[in-house]
Amino acid sequence: MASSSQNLEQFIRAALEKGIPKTEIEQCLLQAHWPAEQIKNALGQFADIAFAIPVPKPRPYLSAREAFLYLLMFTTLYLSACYLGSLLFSFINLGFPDPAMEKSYSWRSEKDSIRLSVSFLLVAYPTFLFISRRIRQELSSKPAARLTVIGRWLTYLTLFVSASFVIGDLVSLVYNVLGGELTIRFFLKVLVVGVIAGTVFWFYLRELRDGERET
Amino acid sequence: MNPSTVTKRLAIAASAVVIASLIGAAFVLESPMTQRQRRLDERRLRDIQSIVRSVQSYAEKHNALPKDIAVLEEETEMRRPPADPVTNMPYEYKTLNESSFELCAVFSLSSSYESGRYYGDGYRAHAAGKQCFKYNKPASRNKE
Repeated sequence: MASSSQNLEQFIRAALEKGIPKTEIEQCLLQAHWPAEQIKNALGQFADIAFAIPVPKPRPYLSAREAFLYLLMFTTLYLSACYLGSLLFSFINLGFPDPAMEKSYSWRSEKDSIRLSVSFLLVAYPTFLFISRRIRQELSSKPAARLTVIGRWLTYLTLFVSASFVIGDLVSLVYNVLGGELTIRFFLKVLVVGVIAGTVFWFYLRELRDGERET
Repeated sequence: MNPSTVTKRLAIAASAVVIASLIGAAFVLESPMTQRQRRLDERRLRDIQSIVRSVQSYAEKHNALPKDIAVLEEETEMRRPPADPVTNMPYEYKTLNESSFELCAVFSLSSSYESGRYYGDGYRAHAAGKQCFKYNKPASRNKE
């Protein structure tokens, strides 16, 4: 993989040095059966500036500071999503108690769980909003590095995690419907997981698509 | 739609859900002051139970109830009889007759419904203020 894209870059560089316009290079490469996506990426490495030799565009790079910001943002996102879900689950448990469990016992343990959820939400969620805004501001001022390596990886990871939750949620829904075990309590929980995971998935998919459209 | 508008709207919607949930939680949870008083009451109950155990083990050994709690200090493993965690006054102990006795403590709150089952045997419901509980000397075991 690496060597083939190196070959491609060297070829493009040599062609650009000879003054061949990008469109012709693209046609030539398409004829040689290079995948269109890869051609576009490789051509995109060089700026459309008339200069003696081809001008490379700045590539996204891995900086420790960006890694810190993105890691913090996604960690607080996960914590907020999980504990919001846990808080909503507690409300559902209190509103539709499980007849198998003793009421007084479940009250006490739900209260402790609510306390934990509130603690995480109060701290993680505002942090998440703040860091997200920070990253967004930095990205809008430096359009060159739209999504750094770490940002892209973490976003895809988030997509993967949230998609897994949605899939697992749907599976459990179907499983229970087939078993005839559909209670309001269960249905509401499925809804909570679906909405939270689905929203996260939808939002970050848009982010990625917007990012890719801009480069 | 402008991507940043979508982001803003989503942020507002999500924040609204979070805030609503937090407000809901505030209704369910008790204030930290109340929680602290509940913990103190639980501590008082535990103290009373440990005194009861000591009294009963004393009664088994000597076949009579102790005259007062101070006596227990010498006999049993209890280094110092527990006292009220806030006022530091000792719990009131009174023998009612040969085989039963009474222990009193002053509680901050009346016991909540949910604590009862949670703490299992030995737990007694109580109202706020001074409450006395009656206990019996354990029946003497037949020694073969």
